[in-house]
Amino acid sequence: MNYQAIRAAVENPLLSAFGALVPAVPVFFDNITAVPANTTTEYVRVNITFGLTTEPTLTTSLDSVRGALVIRVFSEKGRGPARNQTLIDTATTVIQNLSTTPKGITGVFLRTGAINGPTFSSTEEAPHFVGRIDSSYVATVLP
Amino acid sequence: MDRPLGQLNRDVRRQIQSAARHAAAEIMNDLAKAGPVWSGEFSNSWVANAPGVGEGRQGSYPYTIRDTPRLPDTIKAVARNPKLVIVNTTDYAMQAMDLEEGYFINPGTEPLGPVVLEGKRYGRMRADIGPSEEDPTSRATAPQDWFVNYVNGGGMQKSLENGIKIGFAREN
Repeated sequence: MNYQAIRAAVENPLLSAFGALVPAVPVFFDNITAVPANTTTEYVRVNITFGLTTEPTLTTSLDSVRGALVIRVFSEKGRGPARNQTLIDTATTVIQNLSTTPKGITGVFLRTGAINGPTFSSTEEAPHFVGRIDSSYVATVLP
Repeated sequence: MDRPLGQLNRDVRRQIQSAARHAAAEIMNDLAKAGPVWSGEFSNSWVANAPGVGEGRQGSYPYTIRDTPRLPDTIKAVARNPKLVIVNTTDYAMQAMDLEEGYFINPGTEPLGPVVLEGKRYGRMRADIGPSEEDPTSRATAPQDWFVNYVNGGGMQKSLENGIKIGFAREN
């Protein structure tokens, strides 16, 4: 199973979308600790988890993975939800587009499930207003 | 043995309710296994409630069907689509499930569960722990987004299937 290909299929479009914004919004992925903590700098975190790798299916293909995709948007606290929602909207559009990508002969065929959220939270000590969405996905690595 | 049709229908309804209760117990056990275990309070705080019917008792891991509320099996009650809602009763459930930021302190005790992350805290999510050249000051006993992964990654569906299999097998 090519987990890295699946991860790239999700991460690259998100990186491109947030990189294309003016100003570009930094995106941090799993196992990267360079989060600008305790600042008001806005940023996005993308976490991809893998659930079941193989399961009996009606097809002969066992090369598929189910998992979850969590996107958290950190924006300045005390300035209303508008900016956070704008960034969440960018992420939502990318997730929806992932499901419309046609199936090719090679590469990764990925379909996302329902998008849960956004939910918003802001704790007293934390410097950010946090918006969060998550979705399930099923990915198949094509030979 | 011949049974009246009315009794047969009631037996089917009982099987369905039993399967739902077994599935709830399976899910609570798998949530307890997948989630963080430091003192054991969080993993022992899963409760299955049936809104409008009754609350499940506060059990502890490993959970059994006795920790889930008995569901009514009359035609009228079943028509109301009784539901089982699984909740964690701790104050910090949202933080433990990685759904909200929080403020984390070292309780000064050793964790009961396996440590999966160790290092220095860099953020306010439970698993915001990164490598450190100094002695590790923070630990976590469940991977990041374990709850969302369990729900969306197929784990909950498996628990549900297992619970239903057990439920129907026990009733037959």
